Amino acid sequence: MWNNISNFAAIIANKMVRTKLNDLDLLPLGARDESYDGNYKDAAILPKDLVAAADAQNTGFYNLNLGATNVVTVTTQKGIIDIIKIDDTSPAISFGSAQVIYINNPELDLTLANRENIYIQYSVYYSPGDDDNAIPYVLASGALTTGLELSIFNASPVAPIPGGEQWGGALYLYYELYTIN
Amino acid sequence: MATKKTKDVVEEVKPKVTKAKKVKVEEPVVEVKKSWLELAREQAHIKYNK
Repeated sequence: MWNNISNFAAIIANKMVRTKLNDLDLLPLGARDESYDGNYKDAAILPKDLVAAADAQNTGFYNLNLGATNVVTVTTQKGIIDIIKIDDTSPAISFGSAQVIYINNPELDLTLANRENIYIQYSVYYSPGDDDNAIPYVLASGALTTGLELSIFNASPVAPIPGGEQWGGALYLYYELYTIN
Repeated sequence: MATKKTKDVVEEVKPKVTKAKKVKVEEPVVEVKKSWLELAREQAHIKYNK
């Protein structure tokens, strides 16, 4: 039935447009299979599986080594960023200073002029290392040509332990970033 | 017993006059206050040489 787009007119005319899903409703799917003519075979998928699978496909993993750069280039709407090599004393304790990083997606207009069309959501994972008192606090603070800007603070008032490894823990930033234009 | 009369001794107290030392008044250093974000961007610029 999907071969003929005029069927949409019939679906609408017959009031078959749905606003809710039943548990076993199916969506048609062209499943990639190169053994078929045209490389796709007919298949179907549950809507909830489609949403979950598409979300996973739109999520990527990235590394950001602050010893070398503070820009991470991403290609997915959501992602996990593993941040390593933050300086022991910068950001300073008690919100004393910030380390800025940039998330850049070349497909998106992340300039300040487009700020009202940029959607960003993020959360932070931190598991301290040995002799490590850092407590990351992250704030979206602007944008440059190199991407959306986030500032990483150290919320902890405790000075680095001499001989310890401040920021030696595991720091991950989970983000969702897209534009609405 | 006779008591010895003591004369009231009135000492003239002269106020000590000290010369005021010249104190050098240093010009107050006016620091240009920058926001934490400006400082963070500057530090990053220096560190990553962008």
